[in-house]
Amino acid sequence: MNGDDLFRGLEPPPPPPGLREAALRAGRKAMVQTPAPDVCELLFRSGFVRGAWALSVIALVAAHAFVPDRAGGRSPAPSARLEPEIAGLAHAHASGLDDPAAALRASGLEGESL
Amino acid sequence: MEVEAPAGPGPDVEWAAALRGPFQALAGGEAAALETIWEVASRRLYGLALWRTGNAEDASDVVQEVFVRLASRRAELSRVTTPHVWLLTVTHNAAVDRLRRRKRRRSEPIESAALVAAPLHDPGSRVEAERMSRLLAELPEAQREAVALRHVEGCSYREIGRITGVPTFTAASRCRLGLARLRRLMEGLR
Repeated sequence: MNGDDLFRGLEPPPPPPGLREAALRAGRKAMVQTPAPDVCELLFRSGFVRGAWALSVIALVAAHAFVPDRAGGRSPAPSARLEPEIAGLAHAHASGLDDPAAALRASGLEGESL
Repeated sequence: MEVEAPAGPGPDVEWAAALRGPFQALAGGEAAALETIWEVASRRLYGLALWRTGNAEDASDVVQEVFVRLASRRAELSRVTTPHVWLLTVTHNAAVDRLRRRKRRRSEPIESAALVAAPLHDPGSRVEAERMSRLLAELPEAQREAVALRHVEGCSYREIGRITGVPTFTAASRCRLGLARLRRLMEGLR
């Protein structure tokens, strides 16, 4: 005779009368007293969002470590993106040459008709 | 939302599937899901509470506490994959809390509650149910609970371990010892 045979034909007694109403009332009261979690809390608890955040951090770290650094770690100088004459002016300004003629000489444009 | 209550506990956990929908609904803030959970699970939860506490008044308080915890912890219900294990675990914990408080509060013996009942369609087994209730009352609480979870609620030893917070081996051992003791008690009556 196994354990199932011992309890065959028997079952737990039903809950007493009145317990249904009391339990449901207590549950509804607890629902009112416990506010629903806000969006931030839901996001914080979400496994999917946590996974996405971890993946994005890993991707950023991997990109920082492994993507080739062609600029040698510096952004290209602004003068490299400018037209030659404006680059010369920028260079002259950077060299402390406020005189327009000196600036033109520095830019190699002296004698050209502007 | 109406879900027909199971005819009676047995060695299956089909009621677990019936709880998934209400759990999701409750997590979404539908208070009506509490009623569905009551219809599906109340008898089993009350039975487990009764088997653990051995007292109808305490078992009623435990079931109320379970519904309070269901409502206040509803945010986590959407992630619960085995609702029946979650409910039985909360019932176990609430019953253990209740027993601790009772032991601090009073030392007189508890009433002998009817731990099993005869089905309505079989009143002839009422005498057998009363006899079994008396025998079950003599088992240690932990063994009685393990036997109930295994042979009334239909849980696996692994689930019993999760519910009661003990290793699977301990859960199986409690169940085996409880059954052996129950058989000895039955033979003593013959």
